[in-house]
Amino acid sequence: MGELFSLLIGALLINNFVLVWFLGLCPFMGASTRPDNALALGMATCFVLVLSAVSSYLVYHLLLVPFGLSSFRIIAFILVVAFLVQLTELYVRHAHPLIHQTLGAYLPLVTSNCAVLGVALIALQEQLTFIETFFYALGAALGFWLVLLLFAAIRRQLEGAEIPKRFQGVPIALITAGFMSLAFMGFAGFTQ
Amino acid sequence: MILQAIIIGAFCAGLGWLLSLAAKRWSPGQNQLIAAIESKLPQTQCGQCQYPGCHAYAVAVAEGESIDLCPPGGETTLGELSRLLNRPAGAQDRTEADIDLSKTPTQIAKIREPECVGCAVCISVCPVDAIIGAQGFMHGVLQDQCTGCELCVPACPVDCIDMLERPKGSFAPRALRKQPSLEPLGCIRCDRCDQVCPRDIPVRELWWSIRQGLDEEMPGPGAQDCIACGLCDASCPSGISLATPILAQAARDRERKELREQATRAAALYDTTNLRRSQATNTAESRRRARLQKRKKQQGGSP
Repeated sequence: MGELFSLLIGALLINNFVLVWFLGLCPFMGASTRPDNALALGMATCFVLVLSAVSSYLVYHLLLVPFGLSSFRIIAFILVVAFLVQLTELYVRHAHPLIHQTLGAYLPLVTSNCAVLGVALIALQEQLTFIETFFYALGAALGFWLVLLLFAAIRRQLEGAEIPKRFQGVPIALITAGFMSLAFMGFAGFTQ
Repeated sequence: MILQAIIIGAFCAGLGWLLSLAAKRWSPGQNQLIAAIESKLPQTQCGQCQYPGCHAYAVAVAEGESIDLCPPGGETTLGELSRLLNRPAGAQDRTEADIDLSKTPTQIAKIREPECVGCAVCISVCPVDAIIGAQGFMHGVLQDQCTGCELCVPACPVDCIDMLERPKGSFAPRALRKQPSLEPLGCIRCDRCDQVCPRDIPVRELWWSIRQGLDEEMPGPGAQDCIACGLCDASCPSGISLATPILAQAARDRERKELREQATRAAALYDTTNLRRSQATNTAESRRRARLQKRKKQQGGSP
């Protein structure tokens, strides 16, 4: 249990996928202009990320390994991620049209979020078990969500701040992201 | 080798098949229906249906609310909704054949002209711009524009607006004849945003003036006091994003102020330089004149 918890915290804070591994930066910069968008996109990403990591594990161990197809894992995982994103979009559009309206174009973009594929591949590389993969993916997903929300809140404050003309917009956002990354480096060394 | 190719192919095909199943199972229905209903409503946001704005009424209709609650839309909207939803037109059990689609809303506003003080309050309130006139002049109502939404009645400070039976054969309001070109505003003037603002900014007034592109500076708390707390966004029953345009306005104000300061500095610089130059030329001129006079005196003295 303690190991699972440290795996979760490790993926959430210490090896945060956005600020330490620099995966999934495009939605991090693109969807963080408004807190409510960030909330919705983070939720969708969380869901897809955990589901895709777990089902990638199953596909790899039940389908690819027995038939000697393990070299096809990247193609298979991309397929799984795209499938799950489409499924989620269809379901959200059916059940929660308002959320679908606010997410708009962002939901299909989860497909191209490299963190989603990255978690599945890294979990495989680390030779985690099924339960461990689940907790690792959950930590990574919550970490992504947390960082996205924090960043969106900071950018909201930046809108009203007096910023020199040359730094307005993306430059100041990138500088802020750099500072956040530095802050998250402070978590390194919490666990072994 | 062939077995592996078949397995990969079957895997892809299986995922595709599952997706097509899901697409059939969860076909979009409800939200498109709401959008279709909302496009038939007149977008006056008058609230006479007892719902906060046209969007809320569209949602309610999609969930089974009666379709004859919209007085500004009148028989036209009723008929269109009845055809769209395949429902009999309202509680009166009228069938589609009974509805004359050329009929128009039953009432229009009329200003009692001798009593009008020309304050222009009703002009800004009218959602379809059916009231004409100007500050200090008598106002009138364009009959074929008025939808009879009654929003001008409480706004008039001298109570000189009556709601009359619409004369037979007058044109349908333009708002109902074609699709409204403006996006639905949604603002129902409930003033909740003003009440929650911690910096006492008149949020509603500010939002309207930004939206109409007035771009004028008002005394008292304004866009520059916004602290981006987002309370107004959260309070709006129509879900309008208020803070973002206000922050954008604050940025524009700040830029303008900077430009003005720059201009003042440049003017001051120009003035001082000009003064110095004129003084310099004055002294040079006076020196030259003094020299000339001296020479004249010497010349005049010698002969």
